[in-house]
Amino acid sequence: MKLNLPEERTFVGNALLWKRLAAFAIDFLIINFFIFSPFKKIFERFAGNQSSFSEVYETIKSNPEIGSSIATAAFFAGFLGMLYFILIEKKMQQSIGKKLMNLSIVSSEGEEKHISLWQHVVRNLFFIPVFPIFLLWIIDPLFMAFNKENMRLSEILSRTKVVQRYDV
Amino acid sequence: MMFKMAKSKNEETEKKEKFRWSYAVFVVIFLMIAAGIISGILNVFSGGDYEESGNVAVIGIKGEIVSDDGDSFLSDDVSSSTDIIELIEKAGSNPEIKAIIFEINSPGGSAVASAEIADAIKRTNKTTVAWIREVGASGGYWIASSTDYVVANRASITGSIGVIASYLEFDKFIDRYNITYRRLISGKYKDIGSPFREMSGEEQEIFQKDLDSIRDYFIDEVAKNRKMKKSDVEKLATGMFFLGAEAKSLGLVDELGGKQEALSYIEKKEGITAELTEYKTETSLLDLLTKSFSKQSFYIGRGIGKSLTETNTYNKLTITS
Repeated sequence: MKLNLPEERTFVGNALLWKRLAAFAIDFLIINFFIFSPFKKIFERFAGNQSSFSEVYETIKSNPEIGSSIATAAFFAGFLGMLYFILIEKKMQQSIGKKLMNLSIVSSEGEEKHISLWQHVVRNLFFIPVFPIFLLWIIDPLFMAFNKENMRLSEILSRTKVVQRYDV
Repeated sequence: MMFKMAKSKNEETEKKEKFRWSYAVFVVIFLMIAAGIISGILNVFSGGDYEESGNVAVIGIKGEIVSDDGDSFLSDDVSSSTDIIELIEKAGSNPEIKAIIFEINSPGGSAVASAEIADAIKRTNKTTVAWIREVGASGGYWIASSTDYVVANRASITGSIGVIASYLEFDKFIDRYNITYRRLISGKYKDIGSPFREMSGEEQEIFQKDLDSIRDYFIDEVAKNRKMKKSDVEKLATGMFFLGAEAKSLGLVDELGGKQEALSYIEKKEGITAELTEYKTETSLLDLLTKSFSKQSFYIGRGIGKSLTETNTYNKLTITS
């Protein structure tokens, strides 16, 4: 017997801030555990014994090679972190954290519009610890806090946004 | 909150590629492997100077002591004073490092290079300890004597305070083959030490005088470093080597032992729990490849040479311990 029930519908709206933060926290835990942990050995080797930032700074100042080693390791760690988001979100518009929080990425110029690789790169560029890109670590959250759609500056620049889907 | 569009779930599923856990897991595993490989490579090539973080630096002085890196092209068993001084200065400027142990296994080498290293050791503001292993003789001992404390094994070979200079003279050889050494010089001693003619008595005297001056300087330095009378060191400076135990009784060594004794001295003096960190010269990938290729070529050549020149290799006297 075929029942003629009303079709299930999905509404798309801006993602709630707490959901976005939770999704990022989940993704960051994954990245930190699986991708950043091999690099931790390098950081600990060079700066692990120091108890304060000033001591780390002094050690780096007295041995410039240590500074360049830490910078190289941080660059590669950041690059792989960025790849995590690009590789997964490019294919499925969601990272693991976003999937669990039921969020996805769309083009801010229209949900139907394709998001290019470069747009994905720009929205995740903040992972690269190079001046002036790392300023986004401060600017992005500020934009998010004071923007009515909770968009990061990187999202505005990449013309993408995170949306939430509601099934009714 | 603004809802911009509403559509059926079927339409949604069609437009958006379904989340595939297998792909996400694959990406994470792939990136994890990449992170392991990259961090491993960085570990090896980016920080040869520091094996682990610690408060006692260990600097190895192994093989012949030379003044420049170029001398070590065919061998790992050389220590360049340029590199060693750089490591001493690095350890000296690191506030984490409280003491430096020099792990010495060297029969000596260039007097200039040995003196340079000894001076750098005396300049550093850290506690310095020499740990003589198999051999710490001649230039190797010069360096050891410049540290605050010398530890050597009972069976180590040390001492050998003296200077040697030698070269091969080919004048009879070229005479035999009717070859003429045409000598065109401006300045009486310009070709002093030329292997193609016999050294004159006067020239030998000049060389001997220089060797004696270097020996005198060597004796002076050892006497100052070890706080001994110059006349006492003079008596020992016959070029004779001493075993560790004998060197201790002569005052050339402070303690018989090894790494543990060196660490105990540092821990007592500095009031710390010693954690060793190895200071080594940075080796680039290119250096490793060059050394590997040049060594291979060297050993191939040596093997061919040996097979051509040696007919009986079993009657050689070899002393090992």
